[in-house]
Amino acid sequence: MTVALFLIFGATALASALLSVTRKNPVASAMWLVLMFFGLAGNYVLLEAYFVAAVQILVYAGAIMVLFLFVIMLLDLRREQLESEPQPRLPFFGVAAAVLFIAVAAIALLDAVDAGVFPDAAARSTLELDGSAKAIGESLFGTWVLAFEVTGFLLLGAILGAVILTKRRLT
Amino acid sequence: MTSAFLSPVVASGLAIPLEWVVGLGLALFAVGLLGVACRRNILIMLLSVEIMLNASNLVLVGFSRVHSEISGQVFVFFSMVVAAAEVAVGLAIVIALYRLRRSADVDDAHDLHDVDYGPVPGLKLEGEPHHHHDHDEPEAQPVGATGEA
Repeated sequence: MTVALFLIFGATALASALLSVTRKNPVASAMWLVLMFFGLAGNYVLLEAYFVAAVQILVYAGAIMVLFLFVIMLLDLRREQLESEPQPRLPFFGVAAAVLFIAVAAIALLDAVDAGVFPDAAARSTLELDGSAKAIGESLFGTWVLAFEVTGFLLLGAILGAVILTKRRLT
Repeated sequence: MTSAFLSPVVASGLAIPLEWVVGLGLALFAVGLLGVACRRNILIMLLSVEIMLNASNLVLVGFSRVHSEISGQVFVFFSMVVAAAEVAVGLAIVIALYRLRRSADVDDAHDLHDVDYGPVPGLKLEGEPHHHHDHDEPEAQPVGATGEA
C-alpha cells in the first residue's frame, strides 16, 4: 500500500515536473509545479517526515509559488512574446546533458545497489524515526543552532539584495 | 540483493525501497536540468532550478528515513531557506532585467558575451610593468550595448 502510494505520488511529481518544464506559458508552468510540490509532500508523508511535508506545502506551494506568480503577472508578457520563444542556440547539447546525466546517475545507482550501499530491508525494519516538529526543533536548536543563526543572516542578505536590485535609482 | 530489493516490508516508511526514492530524485533532477539547459524563458529556468532543489530534498528525506537520522530533515529545512533566498534574489534580477530589456528571454541579456573585446591579453607576471587599465578608470561603453538607448 505504501509502495503503491509512493509510486502514484512519484509519478505525479515526475509527470507534472515534465509538463511544467515544457509549457510555453509561465503561469501554466507554475501551476504544474504546484502539483509537483504536492506530490513530493505526499512522498514526504510516506517517508514519515511529517513536519517537512507541512513546510513543503507552506513554503514552496504557498510562499515561493505566490512570489513567482506575482512576478509573472507583474511582468505582463504578451501572448505573442510567449509564443515566439526562440529555440535555444544549441538545443542538442541541453538534451544531451540531461540524457548523459540520467545515464551516469543510473549506472552509479545500479552500482551502488550491487555493492550493497543501501541498507538491507531486514536490517532496517526496526529503525524508528520521529519526524515531528518537536524532534526537528530539538535537532535544529541543539546540534544545528549555529547554522540556524547563519540562515538568519542569509535571509537578511537576500532581502537587502532583492530590495536594492529592484530599486529604480541607486542614490 | 534483488530479492531484498523487491520484498515487501511491513513498516510504513521503510516499505519504500531507498533505491526508488533516489531514482525518483535523480529523474526529477534530470527534468530540472533539461529545463535549465533547453528553455530560454528566464522564469521557467528559475522554476527548473526549484525542481532540482526539490529533487535533492527528496533524496535527503529518503536517506534520513533509512538511517533514522533527523539531521537529514533539518538539512531539508536549510535547503528550503536557501531556495527562498535564491528565488527572492533571482526574481529581483528578473524584474531588473525586464525593466532594462522589456523581455524575459535570457538571450536578450548578452552584453557580456556578444561584444568583441578583442583578443585576451596575455598573462602578466609580477614585477613586469602593468597595463594601464586600472580599476578606478571608468569602464568604456561597449560598442554593441543597447542599455542606454
